[in-house]
Amino acid sequence: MTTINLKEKLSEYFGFESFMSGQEETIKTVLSGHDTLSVLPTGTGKSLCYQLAGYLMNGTTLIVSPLLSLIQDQVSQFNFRGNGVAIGLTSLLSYSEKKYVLKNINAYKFIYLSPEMLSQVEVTNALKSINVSLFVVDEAHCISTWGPDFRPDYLNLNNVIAELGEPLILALTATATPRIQDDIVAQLIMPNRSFNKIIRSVNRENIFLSTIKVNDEFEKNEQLLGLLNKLDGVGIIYFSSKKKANEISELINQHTKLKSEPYHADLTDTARYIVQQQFMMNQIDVICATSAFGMGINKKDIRYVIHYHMPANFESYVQEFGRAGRDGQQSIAIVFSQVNDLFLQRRLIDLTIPDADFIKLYFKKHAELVGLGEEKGKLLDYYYEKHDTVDQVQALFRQRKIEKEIGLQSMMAFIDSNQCRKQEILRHFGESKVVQHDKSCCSVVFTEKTLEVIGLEKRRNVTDEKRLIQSSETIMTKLFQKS
Amino acid sequence: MIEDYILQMFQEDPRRPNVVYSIIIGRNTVSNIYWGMRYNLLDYFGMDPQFSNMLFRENIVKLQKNKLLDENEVGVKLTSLGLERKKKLKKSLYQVKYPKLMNQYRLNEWSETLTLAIQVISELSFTNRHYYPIMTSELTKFNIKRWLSNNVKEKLVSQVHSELELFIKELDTNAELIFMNKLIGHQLNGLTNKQLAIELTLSEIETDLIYRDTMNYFASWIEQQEQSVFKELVQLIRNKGIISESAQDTMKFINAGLSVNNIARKRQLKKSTINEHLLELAMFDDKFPYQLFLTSELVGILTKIIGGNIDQYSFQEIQEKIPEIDFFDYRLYQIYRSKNG
Repeated sequence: MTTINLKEKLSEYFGFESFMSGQEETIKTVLSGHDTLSVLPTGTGKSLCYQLAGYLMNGTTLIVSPLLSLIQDQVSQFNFRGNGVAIGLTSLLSYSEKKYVLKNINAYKFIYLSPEMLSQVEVTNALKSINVSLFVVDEAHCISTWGPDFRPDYLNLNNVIAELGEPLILALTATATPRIQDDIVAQLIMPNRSFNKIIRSVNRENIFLSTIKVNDEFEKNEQLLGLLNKLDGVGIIYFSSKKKANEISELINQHTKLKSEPYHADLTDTARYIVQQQFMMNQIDVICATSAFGMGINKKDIRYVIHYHMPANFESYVQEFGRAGRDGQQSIAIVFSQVNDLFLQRRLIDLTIPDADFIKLYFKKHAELVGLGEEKGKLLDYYYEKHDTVDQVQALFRQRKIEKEIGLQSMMAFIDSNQCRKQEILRHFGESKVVQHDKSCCSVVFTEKTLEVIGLEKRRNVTDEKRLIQSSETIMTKLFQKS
Repeated sequence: MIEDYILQMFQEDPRRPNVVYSIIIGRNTVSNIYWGMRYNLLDYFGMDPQFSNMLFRENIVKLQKNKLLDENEVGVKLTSLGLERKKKLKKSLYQVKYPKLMNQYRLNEWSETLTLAIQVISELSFTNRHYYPIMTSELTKFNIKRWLSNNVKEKLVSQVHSELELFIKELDTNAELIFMNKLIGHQLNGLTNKQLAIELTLSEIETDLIYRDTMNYFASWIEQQEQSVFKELVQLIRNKGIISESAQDTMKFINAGLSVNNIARKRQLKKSTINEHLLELAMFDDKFPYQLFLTSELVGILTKIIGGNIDQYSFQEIQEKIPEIDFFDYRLYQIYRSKNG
């Protein structure tokens, strides 16, 4: 398969004229029959790699992806192209829908799965009946117990791949230190096979990085509102809690001329759809999102990403600010840092990771407690059903807590360091590249002058139109074109 | 604002919050339905199947803190302050217009189905194939595909258009604004409940209730039309009736003259299941033949003991007085008295 051929196919299937860095190499190695690990920074179109490769290969492409919302978004991208050959095999399907899909499994060219689906015998049996030619592990860093996003279900993937007749493997992630890269390969590799690695720098030259230190939340909100009034274009603010995201979104609507909407797991599917579309069409200036919630719609002209709460680790920090400036234009990412950040993040860890006593109690009284333990309970249900012992599970979560704490510490160290931000990030991900620091690179402390220097001071309001349409007749003409 | 609606579900007599919650989400057990009837809340049965228990609990606590509700060992009741507030709310708060329709249709499915149908037709009219369909269940997607293939595509656009025009003539201003602005199509992203609430200076829950009311009304309006392009879709989201199919089968056997024991044997079900069916039937079927199951002698004795307030004795207390009575008899009697005074 020559370059020209691939470009033609790119244009045929996606309407793009050229590849982004790392895409073409990834597709080529896959098509030449090599297991591949690609570490490509956020915004470089990782999904296009397996989609184009999948179209060009015989058989079905399986994609394991950890987030339901990401799966939904990916499937709707297929729908957008008018090519209904993709399905999301997730817990969102009803019993009869799932049965229908499994019965007609050979009708789909691309099958997205959440990892827990692969531990269901009926699912793997159905998959064994078709020709799986490419097995894609999306967000592959979730397989590493060293990583902050470790997902226990990912450890089972190796067995599944073997069961499915060892199809070609493509592992994709945006962030992986060399240690995690090795771990991914070690976990996935099939006997007598090797992995090709395609690694691109996590560095994003067009995003200016900075930090604003504040003493308390009142000061933070004041500074945030001031900043938003001066920033050009549209952006995302990340939060550690849904409640805070709602609250600040409200604050922005009340105290600025900007239009803001919260975006997190509490929204209904339809509300999510509406907010995404409004954001795409520049009817919303700023989205207040939680970090746990992926945003699949690819808006290229996001000018700023602000972290209202300190990110929990480098991986999420880099992924999240990477949503800015996908069009290559100058953008900015700012982290708010507050004295009690560490406290808040530790509390979040405590809230999501069950402690030894809770695990013991939950396993002892599972029948009574099932369904009541919220997030922690759901997590424990998984291990309970796997018949793990209390000791095993306690040890596992002790380890998880340590890993999370390490992630947090290195993030704190980054915030407090006075070195070039970008160089620090590269150092964390084990890259040897030296950053050419200049005035559009980063600053340890944010000053307003920065916006002028990098050309991001406010020039125009993005949104102004009134949202409610009073006349039903107007709505009808927007809905239906008379023939 | 949610707390105002929750407050409205209580009275001066204590009610069990668990039961009230089960009614809101429509947890279909004979006991819940019985209490829904006793509380006079059956019209609201299943009005919001997704309503979170935690939110419900939080609001009960909040109402108690504000001295509007009070809790004793029997349940939760309105304080005099709460009663006053309830009277005021009745005038100021949006009251559901069509409570009888609240459990006739699976509203979330209906909303998703209609929104997708309109979106598809809108894009069809602009001959656009490249768009993001709203996120729905696979079943809804499948239903819409089938609906499209069952109709003449060329005619659908004008049919849908003119039917919508006809329907909105039936609506008042807010209902029309909410219904229309929630539609999604070629040049229209739609608005969320929250955005609508802000624009219309309503609360989110009021906006949602107006939307639910309007959607229910639309479904029943469609069913009443001689011809409607949406009829096929409404069929798919219609609840088959409050009485379960199994209970309906039991009724057929009763009408054919079979005894409870015989029905149980014939249907290979437990006798207690058949009894549950009978209680369900008694609650929903006004022509239920009580005389087949309650002797006038027992009715006389029970009425003498119980007097005016049929909720005042628990089953255990009655059993102490009439040892041979079983729960089925007592509950059926309560239903009979609820309906016949």
